[in-house]
Amino acid sequence: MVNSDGQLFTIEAIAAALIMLATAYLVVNSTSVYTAGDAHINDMQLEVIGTDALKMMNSFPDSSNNKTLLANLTRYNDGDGFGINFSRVLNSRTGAQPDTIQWMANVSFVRPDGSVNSTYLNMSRPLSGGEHAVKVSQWVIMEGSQLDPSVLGVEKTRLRAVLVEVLLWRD
Amino acid sequence: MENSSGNLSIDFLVGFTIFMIAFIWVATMIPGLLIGLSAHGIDYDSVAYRSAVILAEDPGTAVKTSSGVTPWEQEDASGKDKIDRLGLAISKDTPNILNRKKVEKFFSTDFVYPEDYREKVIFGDYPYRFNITLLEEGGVLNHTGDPIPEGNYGFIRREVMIKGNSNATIDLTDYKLYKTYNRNTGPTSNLDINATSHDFVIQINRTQLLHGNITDPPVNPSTIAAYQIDPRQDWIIINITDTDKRLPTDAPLPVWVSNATSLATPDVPIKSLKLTKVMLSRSLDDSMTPDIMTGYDMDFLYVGDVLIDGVSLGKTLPQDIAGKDIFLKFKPGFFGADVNDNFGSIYITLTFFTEADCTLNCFPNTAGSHGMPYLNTSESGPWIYNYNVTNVTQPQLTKGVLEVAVW
Repeated sequence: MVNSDGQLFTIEAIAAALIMLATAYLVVNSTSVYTAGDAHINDMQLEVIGTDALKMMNSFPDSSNNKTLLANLTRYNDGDGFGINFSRVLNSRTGAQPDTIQWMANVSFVRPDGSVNSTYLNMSRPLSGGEHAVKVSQWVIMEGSQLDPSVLGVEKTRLRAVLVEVLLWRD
Repeated sequence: MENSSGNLSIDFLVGFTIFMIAFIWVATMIPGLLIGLSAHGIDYDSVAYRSAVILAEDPGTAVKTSSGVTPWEQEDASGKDKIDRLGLAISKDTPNILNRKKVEKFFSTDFVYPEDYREKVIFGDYPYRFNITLLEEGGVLNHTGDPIPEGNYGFIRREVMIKGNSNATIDLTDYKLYKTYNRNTGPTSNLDINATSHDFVIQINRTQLLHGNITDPPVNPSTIAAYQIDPRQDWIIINITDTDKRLPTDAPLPVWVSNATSLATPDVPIKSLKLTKVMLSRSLDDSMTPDIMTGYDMDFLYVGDVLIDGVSLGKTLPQDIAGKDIFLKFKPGFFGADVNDNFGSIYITLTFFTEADCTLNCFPNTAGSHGMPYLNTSESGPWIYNYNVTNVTQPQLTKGVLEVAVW
């Protein structure tokens, strides 16, 4: 038989449940949880350092130079030279110990048929697959290139634009 | 039997429900009160990044005065309150390329840590502590701020380049190349001249330096400031050396020099070699009133290592220059620091007094002294400080690392 006995007990239970829910909400809302979303700060720092390093290598040291260091290294596909210079600029710090940022560089250019070719330049060490890497890039203007002589070296007097792309990560 | 002993009235239920809803709503707003106390701890990295952008990519704000606009790095320490923002970049078109004068001024004692830097670089209401360090290739280290703590702090590193100053050396090679010596204007046109006073003029052509092409073909106009010689912002340094070297032997030798075919034997020694006057003028013919160095605010002349201030004992003109180099060191803004000081030429005239000792080895043998050819631009025209790499060493960019830590 249905009757209206015990309604206060019911209401009391509902009120208690609401209070518990509110308390739980307050507790959970007050804590800050470091999620993977905050990793963008480290990514931004790496991107800034990498972009600056490429930009500095692609700047003329004085008004008399015709080609930048990056253009020369890329033009002659000098991976060793790129590695030495880029690592030095990338990892230089004001303190005694250099930084330990790892990198891998490619050069991309457009073939006459419109397809994009990407050539390996150099790397500090191979990617193992678990690194969280960011990519930086810099357009480089040069006359001809030994990257792909059959394509870029034919017209040596014509200016070419190639894209130097570098993956950066921290161990 | 039914009864309503345990019933609550409807109005009580409604009231209680409204109360609970209001209570929960207010309770959810409590975390928002606490956020303001802990916000500074989560934005250290963004404050550091913003500060580094201001330093590396922004040229800072110029100071407006009644007579024009002055770059912030030219402002005295007493006028630092007029500066809104300190940026080290040469211009907004040359990010990451820093002006050397700005770097020196930024790390000088003109600015007090931490107040001045908080107002003009860090910004924000919270009293952040910070450390700003700049290391230049070659080991030059500049820093300001507290030591970086072991705990939580925001950090950013920027790769930069710092623009150097241009300089020029005028030596025996230039004397030969530009024939900056006076000759006998007679039929022989040799060095047989008896002149004791010589004017050597150097021209700083601001119109050419600031509006002309730096290279041929021209460099990218958007980055021209990185390679430009700007007397308003850069040092102009001129070294005159080989002051007592013999003039070219490929020219016909002066007859008065012993009638010999070679200067080697015998030689006519120099009796007197002096710098007697230095004059600055806006026109070559002195039609505009020149400034003659009298010792006030013209601290640019060095003979050897000695600053010739025109006032102190032993530091006035005339000066004996035999065996000594002459340095002209014009500080940034010496020829005008306002952004509108970008036209016209400044002529620097150095007057020399020269005598050869003709008591020996002169032909015909004349007693006493004899004038001699020396540095003189009356025939060649002024020596010009410009973008000719043969004349002037152009500004170089040196690499550097800028680090900003905030906590």
